[in-house]
Amino acid sequence: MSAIEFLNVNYAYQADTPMATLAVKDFSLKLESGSFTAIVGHTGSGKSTLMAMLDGLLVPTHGSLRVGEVTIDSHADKKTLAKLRKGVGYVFQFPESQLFAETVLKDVMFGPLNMGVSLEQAKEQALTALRSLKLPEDINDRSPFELSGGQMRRVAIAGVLAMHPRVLILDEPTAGLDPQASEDLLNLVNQLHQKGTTILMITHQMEQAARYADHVLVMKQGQRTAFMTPHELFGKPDLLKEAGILPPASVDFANQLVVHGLKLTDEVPLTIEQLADQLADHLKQGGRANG
Amino acid sequence: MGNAKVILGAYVPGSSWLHQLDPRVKLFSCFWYVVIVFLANNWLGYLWLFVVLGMLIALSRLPLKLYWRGIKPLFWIILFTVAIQLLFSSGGHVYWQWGWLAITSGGFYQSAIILARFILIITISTVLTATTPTLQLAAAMEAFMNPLRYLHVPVNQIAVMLMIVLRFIPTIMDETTKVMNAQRSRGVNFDEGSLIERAKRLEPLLIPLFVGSFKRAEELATAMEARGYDPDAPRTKYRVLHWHHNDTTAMVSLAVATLILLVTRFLPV
Repeated sequence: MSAIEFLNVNYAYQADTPMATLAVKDFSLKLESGSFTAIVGHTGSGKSTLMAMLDGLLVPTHGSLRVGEVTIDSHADKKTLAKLRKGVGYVFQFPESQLFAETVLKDVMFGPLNMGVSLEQAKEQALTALRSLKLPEDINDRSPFELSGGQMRRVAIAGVLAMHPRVLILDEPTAGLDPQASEDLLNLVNQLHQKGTTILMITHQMEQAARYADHVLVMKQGQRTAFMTPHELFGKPDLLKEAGILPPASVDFANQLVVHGLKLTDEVPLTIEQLADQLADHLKQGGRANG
Repeated sequence: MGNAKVILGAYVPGSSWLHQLDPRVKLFSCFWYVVIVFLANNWLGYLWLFVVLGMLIALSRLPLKLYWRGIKPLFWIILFTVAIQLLFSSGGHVYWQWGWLAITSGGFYQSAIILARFILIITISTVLTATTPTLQLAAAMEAFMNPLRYLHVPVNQIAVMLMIVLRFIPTIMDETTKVMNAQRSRGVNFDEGSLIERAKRLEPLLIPLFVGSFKRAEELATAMEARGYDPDAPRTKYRVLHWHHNDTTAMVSLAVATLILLVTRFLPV
């Protein structure tokens, strides 16, 4: 059984008023348990609205969605929404703005405690989450507001991970982080994916989608333009152009080579490393650099 | 953001005669109207005030429904005040009595006056806020504060503060929604439980909002100073208010309306 299912979901802001705007239109999709989906699309394409529904923060105007055994439609009550949120973690954009407690540890324990676990259990889950984000232990008793921006980000993410979500939503988690911190964070997300967590990540960086995701969902004007593997998606220049997406640098490079008469393989190089390997193979087989 | 609109008084864009009036004229006229409401001393005076209000509503070219929406949130307060007047006023013919409480013709008369005043004052304010963008209102307020300069009141600074407040209300509304969603996602249920429990749950909402606001204030201050903002320098305006022919017409009409109201005071009705 798939982990997540959207069935003809519609969402309208200010529904039933003359100013109603349809943010998500007749959207259907099935996601496998343990999958890693990158969600791309321009601002206002409905990505965040879709994710908010998945976390029970918004309720679909029409249609229904299911996460595990919880089904949500326009009549969903608060208990059902609370149940949904138990299984879904949401790392918002710039999550450091949600920190509030006196100490780092208390802030990270906040989520698990709300979920109804015992104090010791919450503490243990919090400590594990903090450790997994490679935060030094001596900050646990300090105020989260004394930390550096990057550390605050990691504490906030630990606050979500400590709830042990089966589905994890991340909205541009690397925005504003330096390259090293970005890579560390993405590696951690990937580890969670390897351990079986279903990941949905909104991103504007196609390099991230290409490297980590097993499916890419392209949104445009509240509808899905494409849902396919990165290999399929980035191998379709026409589709990318229509969706207004710039492919990763490695794909772009390979496409430029094709324009100049050199086709390496049928496989699209999703990362710089794959491109380098393909080039090396090509050269080893006696091909010349200028084709 | 629906909330932001309520707080900012619901400006409705339009190009009516009222929309185009100078905000200073509109602000002054609104104050003036509220004052003269208390000059009416018989039903003819109130009738005239309602006629003037009706003309203004027609001039605003906005749907009546909008003005009803201005009254609706205050409905219970109005009802309560009117009921108090009705039950506790005395004088005239007694229709019904129970201990301290009595419904008399005097009470009817008093409560009718209160009801009329409420409706007139609320609706005239709605006419003002629905036809005047908030920033223009602020500019008008600044213009009226100008004479205070001679009393060494820092009018410039107050005006800048007012503008910044108005500018950041929608931003903070957005921020509130965002933090609320983040904490909801962490299992907070903002709208359940007893009053004390609910108050406690505001902590994870209010602290991030305070921290964010102070941070934003600091950044804004730095940005303003980096671009050479000097609180004591004379200020120029991006949108300069000009007096037009229409504004003179409006002021003369206001004077005539006031005069007619004064005349009604001496009519034997």
